[in-house]
Amino acid sequence: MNAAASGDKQAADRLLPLVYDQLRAAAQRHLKNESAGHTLSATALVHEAYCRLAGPREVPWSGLGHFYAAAAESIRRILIDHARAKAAFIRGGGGDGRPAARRAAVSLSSLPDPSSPAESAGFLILDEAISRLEALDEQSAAVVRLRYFAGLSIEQTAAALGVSAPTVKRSWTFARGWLKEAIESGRV
Amino acid sequence: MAEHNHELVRRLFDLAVTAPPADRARLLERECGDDAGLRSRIEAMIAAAEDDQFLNDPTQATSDVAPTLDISAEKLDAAPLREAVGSRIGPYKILQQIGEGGFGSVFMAEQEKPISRRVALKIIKWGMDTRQVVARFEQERQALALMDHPNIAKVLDAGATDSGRPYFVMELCKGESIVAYCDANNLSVRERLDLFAQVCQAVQHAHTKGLIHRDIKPSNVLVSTHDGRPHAKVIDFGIAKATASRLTEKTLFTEHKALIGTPEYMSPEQAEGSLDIDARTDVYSLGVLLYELLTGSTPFDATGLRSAAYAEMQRIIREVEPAKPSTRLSNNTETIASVAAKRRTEPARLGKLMRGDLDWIVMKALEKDRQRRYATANALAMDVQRHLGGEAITAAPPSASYRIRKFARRHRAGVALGLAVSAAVLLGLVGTSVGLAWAVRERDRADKAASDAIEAKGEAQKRSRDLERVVSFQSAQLSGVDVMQMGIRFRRDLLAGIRRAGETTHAPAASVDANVGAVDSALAGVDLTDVARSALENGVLRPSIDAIRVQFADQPSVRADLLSTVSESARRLGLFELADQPGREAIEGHAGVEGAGGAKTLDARMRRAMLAKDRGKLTEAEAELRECLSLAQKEHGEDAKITVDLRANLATALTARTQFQEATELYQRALPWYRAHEGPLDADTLGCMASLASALGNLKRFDEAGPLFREAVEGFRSAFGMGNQRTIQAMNNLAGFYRAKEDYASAQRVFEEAFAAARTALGEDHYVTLMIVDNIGGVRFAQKDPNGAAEHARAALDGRRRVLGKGHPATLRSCFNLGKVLESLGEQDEAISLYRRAAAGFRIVYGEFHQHTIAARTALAGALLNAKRFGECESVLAEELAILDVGAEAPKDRRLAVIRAKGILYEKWDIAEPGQGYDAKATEWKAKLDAAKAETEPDKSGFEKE
Repeated sequence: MNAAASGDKQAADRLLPLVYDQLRAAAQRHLKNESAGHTLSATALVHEAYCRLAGPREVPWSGLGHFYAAAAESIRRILIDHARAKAAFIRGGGGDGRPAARRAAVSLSSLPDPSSPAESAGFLILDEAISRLEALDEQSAAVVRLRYFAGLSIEQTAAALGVSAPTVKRSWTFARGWLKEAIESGRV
Repeated sequence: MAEHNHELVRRLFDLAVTAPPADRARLLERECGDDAGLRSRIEAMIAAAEDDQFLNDPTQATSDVAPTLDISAEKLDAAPLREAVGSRIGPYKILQQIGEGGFGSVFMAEQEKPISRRVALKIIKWGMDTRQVVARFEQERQALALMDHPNIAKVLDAGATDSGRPYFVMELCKGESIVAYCDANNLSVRERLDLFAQVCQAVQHAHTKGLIHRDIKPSNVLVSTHDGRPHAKVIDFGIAKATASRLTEKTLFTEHKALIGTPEYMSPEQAEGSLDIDARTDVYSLGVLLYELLTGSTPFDATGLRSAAYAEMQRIIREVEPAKPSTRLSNNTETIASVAAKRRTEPARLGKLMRGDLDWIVMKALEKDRQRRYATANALAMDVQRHLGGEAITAAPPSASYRIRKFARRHRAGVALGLAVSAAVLLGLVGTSVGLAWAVRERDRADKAASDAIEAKGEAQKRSRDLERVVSFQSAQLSGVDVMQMGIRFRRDLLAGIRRAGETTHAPAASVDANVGAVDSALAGVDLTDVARSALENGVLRPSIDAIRVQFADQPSVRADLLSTVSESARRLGLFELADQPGREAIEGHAGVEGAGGAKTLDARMRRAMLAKDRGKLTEAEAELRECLSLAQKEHGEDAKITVDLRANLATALTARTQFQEATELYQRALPWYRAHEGPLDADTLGCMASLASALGNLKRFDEAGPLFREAVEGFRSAFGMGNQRTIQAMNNLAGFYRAKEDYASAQRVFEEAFAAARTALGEDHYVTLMIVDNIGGVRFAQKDPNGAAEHARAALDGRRRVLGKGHPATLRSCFNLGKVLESLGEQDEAISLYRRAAAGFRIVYGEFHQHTIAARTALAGALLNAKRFGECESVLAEELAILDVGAEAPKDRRLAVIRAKGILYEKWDIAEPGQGYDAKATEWKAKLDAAKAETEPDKSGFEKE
């Protein structure tokens, strides 16, 4: 990773395929229940994430942690783009969909089904809540992003963030409680 | 709803969620007081967190870490020691406990099979991974078996007890710790030194077998009386390494506190937790032992060290200079009387005895920087014996350079923190490059201090002087940097990083291997030595040249000195372009100060001439050196260093021009001066000697060359130690000399010796070691032992491919060599594929028309022809001819050779497959050859005539 940390673009390019497998596995896990109506297949999702990652960027790589953070961020952006399109479709149907979206958000168990307007709307709420949490508690939000978007295990998250596994576990528990409570209570 | 302070929410949540559910209500009531909103929010959050529908664990599979034998320290502490007197461990019956230490307990035991004897059995009691301990011991078992020295207790066996503790079985030694023995028997200083020399020789013996003790301390040196004389035995060889775990703050203070029982004897590199531990670590510990034998106390106070925080302990060991033995004695006014009495002398006499030699011997062994220590335990013993014999010792009082080094070292840690990690850390150069950059930066501060406060001027000037020295010191160090090794390390780290990345993601082993392989292939086309070199150029040298120009603008002489030094560093690193300008400025600077005939001016010109030589401008270099030499003779006389240096360098330039006769004469004139003025063991003297020997060898004056070569090797060996790279290179060259005079048996013997030294000192995978392996293959081949040659050539190729990568010139040369050997063994197919790889690689590395590329192509075409693979041979030749036809700088004789080869090819093809029209083609190509010959001089064919 040294070469990548030095900002060596070439080395980063070489490293990307290594993590690509991991991304794909995460995506497949999350999209394993995909149905015919999906606009994105698992592989397409990852290809898209990969292209975003490999695209021009100025921030130097500084290790695996950044890489995964970037991967999670890429997956998140792709999902948001899709979810926005779907959610616009709901809103087009008239009425305030927010309470329904909140209900959908707290029943999300994994990444949203991109073909489901309700889950897409819920996903947008959840994402908003994660951003709110980030403003208060960066580490907990980082844990959620790595676990939820990139599908990292507790240990992998710990390694990526350079903290201990128990710390990650505590943050994960806390974040889930905080997020659900915040959404349900209408704070978000 | 009130927004609560987030830290509070987090704290209460963590508290409540980890508390037993039954206690939660009470806890929250107490903590939240009357803030019902807060309390209900926390409760809601806990309920939410316990909802396993919401964001359920995205990774179902928990990491399946393989179970290890690792047993936690607490568990073992709690478990009573089961091994008791009378019980049996493997083939050993425990008789009685004879010792107890931080590591564990030592028992006297009886072995019945295969032989009946008493042994010492050491059971490690801490929570170590038994499997690992035993595995590490197994790694060293072979080396341990080779150890045979009257002063070393043999380690006989290792294993695990039923309860999973590792144990070691050793020769049973009687005796007490060396310090206790000396004090109990009131040994005099001389007797103590004699005994200590015994210990050094024993440790040296182990070192030559490649074993480092790592834990030398009084309790590991047992002394008993034998035939009325004290006899020392070093115990526990091989154990410290097997049981070592890397020191960290955590292991020190939690699990292994007692394991680090003896920080007083720990070398600075051990204290740092470095994995790079070599024989000089033992030299340091021997130094501590000697200190204690002489003064009655260790350099650092045991209780002080142990009570210090970990970082503080590290700092003390790494940075604090201990008091010299004589100073320590005179400071300990309370104890000196008893210390002296135990040494059968008076306090005043003891102090006097210590001052001078013994002070310097001890301090040299205790150098923080291991490069400054005695290189070997033997060298330490020799100095002790020289002192006892009243001869001059090699250790010397600290010089100016010693002071600077200390100065630089004091600041190094801070420097390392402040600098960007990029180039320096990446390339493993923290020490040198960082120090250099720092020194330049620190100059700014020195200047500022000067202008800020006039009263600080003296201080600032002193600082500036120090900085000057630091710059030149660091820069000189830099020229010793091994860029090739740096490139190797860079590659290795990169591949290891990728492997780690794969492991972190729990990717399947096969896919990790594939990824590492893919990157390795991608790296094949990259010259990592060059990468390392350019990192040094851009990251270190260029900025320091710029800084020197600015910072020392008003001190022309200092500036010229420093520029000359940096230019020399650049030259030695192969950065010829970069070296040019500062070299020129150095000449101008010195000439401005001391005139054209000044020694420094001439020295700077000499270096620039050598730069010209390195760049292949041999006549220019020679002319310049001749001019300088006559100037120096006129201005400074025959006996001046500058005159002699110029003469020796002129000889070197002449050697490069293959003018061995004159080179020999010049070296012969220079050598006696170096011997007399620099000493027989000085690097310049030895270098001159080796160069003279090699020039004589080229003149086939083997009888004169041989003794000189051997003397040079001996000199390097005693001056730098057996494990020094220079010594190893010198041995390699000596072997090469034997090879040149076709004394293959001697060549092989010396190569084998060099190999053993290189393997011990540099490691199996060092490029120098691999070069020697390759050379042994060559000698075997010359001795008509193709099987032995193949074995070595293959080992060299495998090693180089692994260490240097498949595209490295040395790897490619190994491909070629192995191909040659296999071809001679009739294994044509593999030879052909090796030649193919070599040819393709050389083409990339050296270009189309380099002699290596041509040699590989010739060998390839020849092997294909002999294997009757005519079609492939035809296309190889056609391809080369096409290249030769378009290349403007294509060598004409090569073109002729290829055309001739085509003629031969078709001739043979026609014989093998008559009636296919190849006879006509053969005639056609012979005509082409005649036509081509008419244009140019004829030359040898690509094929050797059968």
